Parts: sequence; structure tokens; C-alpha cells
Amino acid sequence: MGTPDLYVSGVGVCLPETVTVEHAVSAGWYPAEQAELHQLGGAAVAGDVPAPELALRAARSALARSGRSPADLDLLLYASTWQQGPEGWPPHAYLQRHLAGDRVLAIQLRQGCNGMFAALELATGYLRAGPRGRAALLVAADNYGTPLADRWRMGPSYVAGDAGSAVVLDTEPGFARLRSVCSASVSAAEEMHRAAEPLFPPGITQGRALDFAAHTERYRQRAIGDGSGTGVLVTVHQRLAEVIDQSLAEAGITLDDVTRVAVMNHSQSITEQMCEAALGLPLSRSAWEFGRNVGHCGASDQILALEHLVAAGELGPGDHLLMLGQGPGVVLSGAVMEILDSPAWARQPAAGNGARGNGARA
Amino acid sequence: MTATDDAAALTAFIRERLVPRELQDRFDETSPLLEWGVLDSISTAVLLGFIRRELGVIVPAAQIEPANFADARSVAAMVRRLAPLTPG
Repeated sequence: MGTPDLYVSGVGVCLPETVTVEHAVSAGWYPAEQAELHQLGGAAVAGDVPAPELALRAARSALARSGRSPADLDLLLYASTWQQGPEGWPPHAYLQRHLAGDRVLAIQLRQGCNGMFAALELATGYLRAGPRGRAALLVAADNYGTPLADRWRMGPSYVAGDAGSAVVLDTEPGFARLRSVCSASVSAAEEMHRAAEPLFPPGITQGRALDFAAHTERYRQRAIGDGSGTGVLVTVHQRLAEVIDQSLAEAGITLDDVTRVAVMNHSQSITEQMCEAALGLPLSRSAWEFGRNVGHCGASDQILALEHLVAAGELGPGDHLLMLGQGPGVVLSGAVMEILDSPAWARQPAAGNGARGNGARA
Repeated sequence: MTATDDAAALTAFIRERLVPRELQDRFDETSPLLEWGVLDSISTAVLLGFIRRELGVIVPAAQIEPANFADARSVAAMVRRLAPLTPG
């Protein structure tokens, strides 16, 4: 949907320090041949900082940068992909208690790596339906440093990083305008993210690890073995192309207007193919150089890239950022951000140690 | 480049870059790309990148249909149809 009436008034991140791929290889965590193949630099590792704490630190930063107070918020959406704390406990309540307050509608979204796109879409409808002058706080956070998750072998072409990210989506002007956001599904491919185990009992209750690499390979082998083939995966790419077209059209721009592209933090070759095949753009127009050093941080990748590019001065007034995502379902998402202003926080010297956002450490 | 050249270039690229080594010897322009599992989301992107870069054809979303990627011959036919429509 086109969203010319909605702005981003604040963005914040909590990005722990990186553990390098070089270190992971020497420690035996990450295969050397994968390092050579994918050219990744490392993964942000939060140690024992809980995911909701990463979310809270990012949210505090975003809210402070927005100039808003918690009383201005109508909605809190919390996107996550992995376990957040005790089962049955809602992590968004932690953010309500410590930041947003009890008056907001607070909801957790389990929309995989597309959670922030879902949050943008839902918040758009919610803010438009309510009184003018309100704002929504959208956060995402994960810490994969747990049992049953191996950040270095979780997926076929990425390593998993820990991070919190947050945006304040606002009906009042901010440093960026959300020009469009949209999603599309290919549910015929939903089995791709579960093929290696039964639906019941749920894997986590049986102590099964999160292993997208195994699911993907099993799905592929089954598709070849039973003759059904991989045509549905071609459809996934088709849907991505449609989402790109829709994002741009609803934003009222063309590819020529796109300054940078933020996709999930995957391998160099996949990022290159996403940019070249789908967009006709070189890798240098992506956020690869940043993303390769933090890993695939659940639903946070595109917001981390937005914050980084604005803070580094690589996106300025008049520029457009095209954000693309793909998650289990399979869901494809796109959004266009137009930068309107250089916010004060982007004009301040960056901290020297590479980690961002209130001191989370590996 | 003629249509025949395009088909040959496509077949060669798919064989060398996308087909598993153990299947390369028996791969030709009629080999089933989907039943063999040659094309997935990423390898489709690789192929579209080749078509854009080397053959100068941009494949629009509406044409990224499994039927157009059934085998190298189908891909070549699609490229032939789209070539006059690609700007530049």
C-alpha cells in the first residue's frame, strides 16, 4: 500500500559486537569452505543479554531520537523469530512495563524474518484509523545464543546475528517517510521450513534444534524424489519480482530513484543475485558491506541497515531506500523509505568500538 | 546474437553453472530444470541475471512462470519473445 502520510520519526538499534568468521572457523564452529564460499565477515553476538533487553535498548534509542514520549504511543508491535524468554510469557509486556506503558495496544508478531514489514503494514492501518498525531513503536529482537540454535550452521547461506531494532512510525513528520509497504505469499512453499520434522509434537517440545538448512535440503530432495519438482521456488522468485514492482509503483518511484537496497544479510553471492537479477543493480548499492559483518539478525536486518546508512551519511535527504525481505510461509515483503532530513543523531561522531546501542556486549 | 546462439548460450550457462556435476553429461536443452531440481529461488535469480547481463533481456515478473523455465528450450523461447520488448 502507498503510505505517503506516514513517517519514521525515530530509529534505534542495539547491535552487539561482532564475533568474526575467522574466529568461528578457528574455533571449529563454522566450516572453512563455507567461509570461502559465502564471504561473510561475522555475526553480532549478544552473549547472555536477553532478546527483550536488546529490544528495550533499541526502543529507548528510537523513542529518544523521535522526540516522542511514551504517552504519544498508541501501538507497540514486537517482532521475533526465536525464543524470547520463559514459554508463555509475552516479551512485549517487558517493553510496556519499562518504556511504553500500559495504555498502548501491545502485540507480539511471529512473522519470521519479515516481522518488521508486517509491523509496518499493521501499524499503518492502525494509525490511519485512529486520531491524528499518534505514533507506533515497532521493535524486533532475537538472541540466537541458546541451546537448540547454532548461529553458524542455522541456514544454508547465512550466519545468525543477535540484535534489537526499533522504529517509531509516526503520523507527524519525521526524518524519513514510509512511501510504501507490501507483502505477498507463496503458501505452496510453506513446507520448505518444516520438511525435516513432523508438525506434532512441535519440535521445540522434543528438543529439536532450529535448523533451516536441514528443512530446505529435505524439501528439495523430496521435490526431486517425488517428481513434484521445484517450480514453486520459481514462483517464489516471481512473487519477489512482483513485490518489488508493487513497492516501487505504490511509492511513486522507479528503480532509477532507488539509492540503496537493504535485503536480508545473506551470502555475497545471494545478495549479488538479488541485486543484479531482480533489480539490475550492483552489489555496491546494497548494504552488503555492513550486513556481512553482523549476520542475519532475524527481523532486524533492514532496519539495522536503515540506521547504519543514515548514521554513516550514506543515505541523505532525497534518497530512497528499498527494503526487501523473505521469510517462512513463504512471505515476500517490500517497503520504500524516503529520507527527508539528516537527523541530529546522524551528525554526531560514531562510537569507536563498532557496537551500537547502549552497551550490549558479546 | 541469433536466436540459435541465445539458446546455445543459455544451455551452456545452465549446464556449467547450475546443473549438478553428476548430471552435466546428460544435460541438454530438453532436460527438465524443475523436475531435476536445477532451479530454485536463488538459481532462478542467477539465470535471470545471466539473461539480463549477457543477452540484454529483462524478464518481467509476469513472465517468471514455472512453464517458462521448464527446460533450456523454454527459457530460450521466452527470451526470444521478450527481446523486442526490452528497452535500449
